[in-house]
Formats: sequence, C-alpha cells, structure tokens
Amino acid sequence: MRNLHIRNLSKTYPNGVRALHNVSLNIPVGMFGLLGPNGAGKSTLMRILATLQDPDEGKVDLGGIDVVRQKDEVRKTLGYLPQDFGFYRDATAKRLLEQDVYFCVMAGRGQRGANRQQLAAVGS
Amino acid sequence: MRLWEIFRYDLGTQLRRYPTLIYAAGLVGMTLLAVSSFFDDARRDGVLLNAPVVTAASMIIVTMVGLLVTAALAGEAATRDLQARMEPLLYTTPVSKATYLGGRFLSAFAAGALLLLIVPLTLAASRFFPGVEPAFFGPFRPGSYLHAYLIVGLPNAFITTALLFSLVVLTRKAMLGYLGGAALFMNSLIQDEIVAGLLGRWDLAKLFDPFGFMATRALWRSWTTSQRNTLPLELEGALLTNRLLWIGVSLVALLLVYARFRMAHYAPARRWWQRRAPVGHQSHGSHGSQGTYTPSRVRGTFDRGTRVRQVLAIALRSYREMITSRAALILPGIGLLLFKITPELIEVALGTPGRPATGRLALLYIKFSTIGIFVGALIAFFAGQLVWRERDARENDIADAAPVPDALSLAGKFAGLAMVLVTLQAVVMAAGIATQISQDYNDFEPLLYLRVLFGLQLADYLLFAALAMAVHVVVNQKYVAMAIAMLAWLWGDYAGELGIEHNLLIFGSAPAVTYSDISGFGASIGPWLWFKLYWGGWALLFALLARLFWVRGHEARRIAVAWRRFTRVPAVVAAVAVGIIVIVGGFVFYNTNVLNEYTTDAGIARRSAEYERRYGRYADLAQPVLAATKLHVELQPAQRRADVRGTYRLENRSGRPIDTVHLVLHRTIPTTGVTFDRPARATVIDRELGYRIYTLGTPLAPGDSVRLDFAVGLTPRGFTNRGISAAVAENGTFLENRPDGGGRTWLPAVGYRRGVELDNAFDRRAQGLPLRPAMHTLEDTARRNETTGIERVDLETIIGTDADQIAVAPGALRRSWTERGRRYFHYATDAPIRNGLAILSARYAVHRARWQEVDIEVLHHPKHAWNAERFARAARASLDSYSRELGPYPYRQLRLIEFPSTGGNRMTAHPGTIVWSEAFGFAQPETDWRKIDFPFAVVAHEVAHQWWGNQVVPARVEGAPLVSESLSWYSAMMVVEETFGREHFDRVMGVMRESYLTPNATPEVPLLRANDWLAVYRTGALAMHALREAIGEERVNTALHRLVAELGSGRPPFATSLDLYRQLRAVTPAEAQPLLKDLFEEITFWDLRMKSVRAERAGGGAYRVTLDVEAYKVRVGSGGREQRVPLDDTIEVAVFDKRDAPLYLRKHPIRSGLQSITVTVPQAPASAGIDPDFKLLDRKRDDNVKDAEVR
Repeated sequence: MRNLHIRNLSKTYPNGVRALHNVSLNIPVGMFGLLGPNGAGKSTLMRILATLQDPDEGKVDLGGIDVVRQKDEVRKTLGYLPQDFGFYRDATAKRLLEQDVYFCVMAGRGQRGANRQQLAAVGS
Repeated sequence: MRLWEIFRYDLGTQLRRYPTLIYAAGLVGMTLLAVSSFFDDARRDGVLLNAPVVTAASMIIVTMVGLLVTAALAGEAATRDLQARMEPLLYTTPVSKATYLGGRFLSAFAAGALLLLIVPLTLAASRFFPGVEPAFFGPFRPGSYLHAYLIVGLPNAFITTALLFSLVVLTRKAMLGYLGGAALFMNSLIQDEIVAGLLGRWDLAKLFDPFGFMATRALWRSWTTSQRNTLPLELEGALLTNRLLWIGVSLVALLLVYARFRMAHYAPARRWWQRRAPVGHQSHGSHGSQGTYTPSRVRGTFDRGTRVRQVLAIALRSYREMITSRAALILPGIGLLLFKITPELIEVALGTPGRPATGRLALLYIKFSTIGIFVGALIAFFAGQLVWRERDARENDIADAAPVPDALSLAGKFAGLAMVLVTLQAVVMAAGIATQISQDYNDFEPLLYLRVLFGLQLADYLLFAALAMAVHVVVNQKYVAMAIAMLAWLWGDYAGELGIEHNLLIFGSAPAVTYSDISGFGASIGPWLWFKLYWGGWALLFALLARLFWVRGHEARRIAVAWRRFTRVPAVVAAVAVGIIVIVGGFVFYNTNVLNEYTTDAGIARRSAEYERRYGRYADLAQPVLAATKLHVELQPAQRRADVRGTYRLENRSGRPIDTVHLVLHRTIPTTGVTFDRPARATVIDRELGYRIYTLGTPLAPGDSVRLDFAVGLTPRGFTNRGISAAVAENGTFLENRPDGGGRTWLPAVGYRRGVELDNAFDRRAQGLPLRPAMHTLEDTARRNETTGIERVDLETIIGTDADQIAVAPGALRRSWTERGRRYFHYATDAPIRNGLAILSARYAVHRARWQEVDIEVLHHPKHAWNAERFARAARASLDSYSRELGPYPYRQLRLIEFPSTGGNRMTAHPGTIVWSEAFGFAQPETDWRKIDFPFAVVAHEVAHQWWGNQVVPARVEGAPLVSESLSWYSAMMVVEETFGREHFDRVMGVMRESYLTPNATPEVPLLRANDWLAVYRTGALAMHALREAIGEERVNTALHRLVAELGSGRPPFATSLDLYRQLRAVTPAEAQPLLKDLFEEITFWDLRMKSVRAERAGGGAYRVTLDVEAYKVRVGSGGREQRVPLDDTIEVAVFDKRDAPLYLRKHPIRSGLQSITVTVPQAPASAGIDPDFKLLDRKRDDNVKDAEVR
C-alpha cells in the first residue's frame, strides 16, 4: 500500500516566516488528522502535500511518487478540500454534484452512472 | 473618521501602489498616441502640435483612451473593501455613509486628476522627443496647457470617475467599471462615425458625447489652419452645454449612489432571469439511506480520452459562463448595431442606397474598426476572466489539486474563448444576412461569409486572444494586464502614425485582404497568409509563455517555477515557434525588403526631395513634346503579368534645337530597352530616383521628331509590405496611367515632372526644400503653356489577353482576332486625346446603345447588370445636351467600363472612356427615399468632363478644378433637369447642399482660386446656379459655349478660371455684375433670417402675410476677417401651405438689416421663408423659414 514519507521538509516564505523546519514524518494508510496551534505550519504542509506549494528542502514520497516533482501523478489520486474556498455565485452543491459532470471529468471519472450512485449514497 | 482622513489615506495608498506607476507610463504612451494623430495635419496643413486646440483635443483623447485607467481607479476605490473582505469591519464603525462614499470617490477622482497632469507634461516635453520635427511646434505657451487641463481634463476626469464609480458601487463589480468605460468610449465613436458622420446630426453628437470630443471636433472642422494655430478652445456654446449636461448627469449618478447604497451586507437581488429556485428550497425529495455513507472507490482513468474530455469540459464550461455573462450582451449589441447601420455603411455616392452584396458586407465588417476596438476589449476582458476564474471564485485550491495538466486548462480556456469568438462571427454573419433579406437581396454567398468572417477575421481575433491570455497569465494583475492588452490592440491601429509601418513589427498585422466580385481575393490572400503564419509563430510562443507561467498553487517564485516547467515538450514547442518566426519571418522579409524595395512614407518624401534637388533645375528645360503613343500590351492574366512595348513620337515644338531627352521612370516597375531612332547616349541613369538623361547624337531640329522605343514589365516579384498590386488581375485588370496627376506613372514621362515633387509646406520644410505654394498662382501665365502630362496625343494600342476576356483601351476598335489561343484587340483614337489612358481586361458583358454616330458601350461584370441601362441612358442624355449647348463630341465611341473595387471607389473620366468602380455600380437609386437618381447625375458629370477637362483643359494653376469640376457639375445638373424635371433637380441640389451641414472651415480664397473639394464640387456648382437664377440659363450657356469654342482645342494656351470669369462677365447684365463678383471674386456669405411671419384674413379666403426679414451680407477678407457689407440683392421670398407647396414665390429686393414684406396669398399660409432653397450661401440654414402665426 501507499505510505506517505516526508523527509526533512523545510519551507521559509519570502517575508522571512519559517513555516516548516526539517519536518520528517511517516504516515501509513489510514485516516489522519493534523493538529497544532496557529502558525504551526499545518496549512503549509497540507498545501505541499496537495501539490500547491513547493518546499525549499526535503522530499515527500507517496507510495513511490515524488510529490514535489511528479505533481500530475499525485493529483490523479488526490482528493483535496482546502480550509478556505468559495464557489461561483450561481452554483449550488447539489447542482455541482448532480448535473455537473465537470468535476468528475476533471478528476478523470467520466461515467455519469458512477457519480449518480455516489450521490445516492450521500442521500441527496 | 473624517472625510479628509479617508481621502488622504486612500489617495496615499493609491499613489503608492505599483499599478499607479504603470498607469502613469500608460498615460505617457496615450498622450504620444493622441498627439501623433495630429502628425498628418501638421505635415499636410501646417497645424502646430502645440496649438491650443491640439493640446485640448489630445487631452480629450487621453481621457477617452484613459478610461482604462479611470475604470481601474474607480473600480478599485469602490470595491477595495469588498476585495479585502473588510466591509464588515468598516460598515460597523461610526463612519457615515456620506463620509465613506465621499472619501472613496474623491480619492479616486484626485488620483485620476493627478495622473492626468502627466498629459500636459508629456505634451510640453514632446517637442524634445527624437524624431519629432521641431518645425511642428510654435512658441511655448504654458497657459494653453493649464487651460486645456481645466476645461476638458478635469471635467472629463470628474465625469468619467463619477459615472464609473457609481456603476461599480451599485453593482459591486469592478469589472463593470471597464464595461461602462467601454460603453462610454463606444458611445463617442458612435456619435462620431454614425450620428455625425453618417446621419449628419452634429447637434446631437455634440451633446451626447460626454468628453466634449465632438464639440471640439466640430470647432476643429470649422476652423482654418491659422485659426487652429491661434484660437483657444473657449468654454462656450456647445462645449459649455456639453460640460454642464454631463457634470449634471454625473452629480445625479452620485446622488443615486448615495440614496441606494447601504452600509450592510450585500445580497444581490434575485432577478427574473435567474430562474433557479432559491437554495433553501432544496431539502425536499431526499431519498436513500441517511447517515450511513460508504464511499465506493471510483478510480480515475487518465488516457487520451480523459484529456479530450477534460479540455472539452473546460471549454464548454468557460464558453457557457462567458456567453451568459453580462459582457456577452455586447454580442447581440454588435449584431443589432450592424443590422441598423449596414445600409448606411454600404451607401454609394452621396447617400444613394447600395446593394448589400456579400463580399462588400463581409469586407466592410472586417474593416470596421469601431467594432474591432470592442471585440479587442471583449477579448482582453474575457481572457482575464478565464485566467482568473478559479481564483476569483476562491476555488483555485480545489481546481489546482485536480489531475488536470496546466496545458489542458489553458487549452480548454482558450478553446472556450475561441467558441465565443465563433459565436460573435455567427452573430455578425446573421446581421449581414438579415440586412440582405430586409433589402430583398438574395444572393447570400454563404461560403464567402465563412471564408471572410470565420477565416480571415477569426484568425486575427485568435492571434490577439493568445496574446491577451499570455499577458494576463504573465502579468498576473487583472486590470494592469487588461490595460496592456488593450494598448497592444491600439498599437495595431496606431503604429503607422508613429512611423512604424512594417507589418513584421505590428503584432497580428498583414497587408490588407481585398475582395471584389470581379477579381475575388485576387493575389491578396498569399501575402496575408505568410504574415499571419509568422504571427502564428509568435502566438505559439506566447501560448508557451502562458503555459510556463500558469499560476497553480501558491508558489511565489514564478520565474523559478517557469524554468522548472521548461522541460522537453515546452522546449520542442519553443523551438518550433522560434523556427516559424525565423523561417517564415525571413521569407517574408526576403519578399518585402530584398525582392522588393521596402518603402516608408518618410523614405518616399526623402526621395522626392532628392529628385527635386538634383533635377529640379531641368524643370523649364525645352523638351520634345509627346505627340503619339503606340503600345503593345501582352497580358497574362493568370500570372498577373503584363509586358508592354511602347513607342513614343516626340516633336520639337520649342523653336530651338534640343539635344537632350529627359525621362522620368517608375522606380519599382522596371523600364528597359530605351532606344531612339537616331544615335543617342545615356548620360545620366539614376535608378535610385528614376531619372534618365539621353544626349542625342545630332540635336533635334525645331519641327523635327524623334522616335523613342521602350519596354515596361508589370510583373510582381513576390510580395511587398503592402501586398501585391492588384493592377493586373486574373480577371479585372485595370492599368491606369495618369500623367497629369501627382506621383510617378508606369509609362515613361518625358521631361522633368513637377508632379513628383513634394507639395505641402511641412514636408518641404522637413526636407529642407524652399517653400512654395502647393499650386501655382493664377497670375503665373507661364503655366498656361506647360504641356507636360497634358499633351495632345494620338494613341494606338494592341492588347493581347486570355481568349475569354475583353480588353479595352481608348479609341475605336480597329480589329480583333484570335492567335494561339489568345485574343487580341487593336484600338486607335479617332481624334487626339489628352495624354493618359486606362487599359482594362476582364470577362465583361457589354450593354450597347447609340447616340447619333456615337457607340455607347457599358462594359460590366456579368453579375452587375443592374445599372448598365441607367448609365447608357445618362450617357445618351448627356451627349445630347452637351453637344447642343457646348459643342461637338470629338469621338465615335463612349465607353463606361467597370473596374474591380481594388482600384478605389470612384468614377473617372478619360477621353472617350469613363471607368467606374464596381463599388459605385452597386448603387440602387430605385430605393432611394429621397427620390433622386444620383448615379445618373454622376455619369452626366463624368460625360461633361469630355468637355470640361478633356477639351477645355485647365492650366495647372489655382482655380483649375473650377473649370473642370464645377462646370462639370453645372452641366450635369442641366441634364438632370432636362431628363427628370425641375423638382428632381431641386431635390438633387438640396442633397448636394447638405455638404454644408457638417462643420466646414471658412474658405480662405475665393472660387476663382479655389482647389479644395467643397469649394469646387459644391460651392462652385452652387455659384453657377445662383448666377443662372439671376441672369437666366441662356446667357450662362452662351458663355460656356464661347469658352469651349475659344479654348476647347486641348492645346496651349490652357484655360484658367479667369477665362471662365471673362466669358461670364461678358454675358452678365450690369445689374447682376455685383452678384457675379460676390460669387466668384470675393468670399461672400448671406446671412438671411425670417424673424416672424404674421398672417391675417384679407377676405374671400385670402390672407395678407407680413414677413419680417433680417438680412446681411458678410464678406471674408484676407486673414479670415469677416466684415458686413451693404446688401442690395434680389432674393427669393416664398410663402408655403401646409404641404410645403409654395403659395407665393417671387424675388424681392432685399437690403441690409430688418425689413418687412407684405404679400397676399389665396389660402391659409403655414410658413414662409427667405431664400428657402438656400440658393445663396448661408451658413445658418435653420432660420430661413419660419412657421406662420395666423390671426
């Protein structure tokens, strides 16, 4: 299975804030949470894992995929919901999921039937 | 917080932001652009670039183009808190609404006003810029800059900031500021081109354009050069009204904002078109198991199909979002606008309706720059929306983490934009077809529409779309990028003004594509394609830049990211793009600059100056005179090739032996094989300036003649920066040689030609040449004997062409035969003609008619039979009238030949031959609501040139066109009256008088010295008719008949306006002599006004009408000074009934000042007027007629 190996990850922002300093973690398959006070570097770490930011140093490996360099490969398996996001004004959750194959197509899943089943499962 | 603190804080913040610097730079650029639009006026007329009105007009133009900046400032001020999501914090502080809005608005206005100071600074500095002619500037007057800033700069900044700020505050969308700015700009263009330009409603245009642009333009047009250089723009009249109106509108808008604005959370009202049910209603219909959710894993597949689906999905979604956005309303807007104004745009001569042929419409649409600017803005705007879509919705993290490669997002968005543009073109095409249907025109030619709109024009749009998207991605600042993209678009339109002419330097540009029903696209597509391919290479490079700099995630080091992305595939793409640019660009350059000579306007001027400096001393050298020309022309239409062998017979008429022959040759069309029939030696061969001098072995004795043989090859080599000459075409060859005009001719000219010299003062000064008037003065009697270019010649022409074409040259057709699959025509003139000719060859249909011994032939494109019969009828009526009134017609044939629209939109008279543009032939006077047949009148005018211009040849001095053009119009109008009757005549004259409705400069010279269009085509003809009204038609015709009899030989001495004047004076009775003088020798205006019209019953149904008339006569003296002179003329007075039919019409003696006239009419009068038909020149026409008060 895919384990997530984080090795010596460091990230300093241009304004001098050091968000991560030499972080190493081994995360096996499962459901995990990341806890910490404000400014602990949670978001930075999550964004690096979600391919949205590059570390200054260190490596991230997800089951053999280099998260920093093979971003497109990571994204194929990634599900990411950021802490802060918006939506187009005329969009509703139901419409987004139900009528819109857009996100499914974006995620590489083209079949409408499968999406319907998922919707039924969440009970909309 | 106080208003002042908010204001100071906001202004400080704004001025410290880095986009402000970019705006400042942009304003410098716009100012230079604005002032450069006056270069032509400076060069041509000597308008000073620092004249007060130029300063003010430049300021106005900058405030118009600068709407981009104003929109950014106003939008930023109005949405700053929303953008920063600070509004909950601010709205809960104890700041009052007035303080909050006032501070925001005033800071935006102040920032705009401060930035606008750049305009006068740049204008003041522009005289020091490299390449700017110091002669273009007068003395430095700092006051005029301040003046312009105060009366147009500041008010415009206030008006635009207020309107755009209001719009953005009310809608809370910064982008609407840009759309509002675009709408304001478009409004002004529409006022200029349509309301004033097409409809002639200057009064409305001056009011409705919020910038004072049209008010200034009207003044500009009504001023002479010296007035333009001295008069300041005063805050009075239309400009004052305009300022007050728009400042009022702006204040109302601000008040509205104050009333409507709530310092509360903004929840947009649901509009009727937002059909979806509100969010809260969606809980119904829940089914399935609740609470337990077991995600089943659906694994993504990432094959080629997925990629295609992803691009399609992004494209479709982008398309749907754009096409349903408010900005897309511009699409139906463009469609409606085109549908409404196309009939105006395709009018032919003087507002005659034109047939909406597909080729005309499509070409018109792609050249319609007013629409173009808006499409450019739309593309720049949508490109920004696309690039920023996810970030604006704060959905970027989700989208960026999705497994979609960058290139696919980019490609999908670009495809979406392309689909919008395809939709736009479909709308344009629909507008065109709707126009055709509404005019019962049913030859739709859909393929032609497709090729022009979806081939040529869409390619342009897509190139710009690629650029705009790349700019948005790389700049990564929405508003700045939009401004840059728009400046790039304007660069395409204005680079030429700044002296950048090479199409390799102006993004997306290429030589213009031409289309004509006769010649099709001709050779214009090839060069176009090469240039566009070259720009396609650049577009690919831009796309690659966009791909490399595509913003994904939160990485701030963009260059490092871009560099990392520069892997193998991008490198290959870059190599391909650079390869295209270098190879295609090199090929294009080889064609434009190596195979052909690359010429710029400046280069042409330099060479003309050098020509004059080096050879001007030969101007008065005795030269043999051209007496006969023989041409053998072999046309190879399919290869666009013409090989001409020619022979001249040159006679020595000077009375002294002549030992040198000077030839002026075309510079780029090669002349070879120049030989004389006696020993001669070339002593000067100047290829650079196209000048040769041959020294004859034995001098040519007086009365003796010499034969000159030569060959000319009109074969295009590759293409130039301006494309390929359309003169020799596969179908529709049109070779004109006009040695009487300016510039060089493709046939050799004998003797130094003044026509090649620079003739306007500023070009001459810039080139260091002594100043001279553009025309020789009327008193320069030597010119009456100068024959160069207007010699009397016998012409014999043999033309070979394709077997299915008819070739035409002047003269009688002697013989026609077929030889080796080619058709030959042999023409010879049956009487000497004025030098100059037109050779045409096409697959013509011929409409034949006859008048006495003269064959009338109308040769036209088979599909264009529409007007053939009309033209023939006009020709016959004209020959009939002129040969009776003026003198015999010298030839046995009169041909009216159609040429492709590539040759221009005109009708031109050559001896025995009248050539008319296909564009002119689209005229459709049957549907003219004014009930006039103007094309008939134009043909009559051209036939009249067979007398005025070809028999009575004017000497090349001031007033020459009075003899050729004014008299031709006078004679043509007589034919109109004979053929259609007095009412039709009056209607045509009425339409011709409409030229005076647009603001015009006061004439600087009287008619006898006039050369400008309005004076000779309109005022001259009106003066002739005013004279005819006063002394009667017979007397005028006697004078004209005598003029033809006296000077109609076409040989020197040539005629001047003084000869005409002398003949007119001889037939004018003593009492009308003052009028004659007023009309021709002086510049005179009549200022006639009907003050009041009172009617009383006089018994028996009759009415006694008392007319109060105020009348003055104004004379324009030297320097444009106007002065009232005593009026003592007999002037028409008329009383009209309800249907505008005259109840009374008689001439009355009228004096200066107020006077009363009492007349009795048999019925109730409705109105009365003095000179109601404007037979005298009256600059204010709306006060000549007044409604009657009946008591």
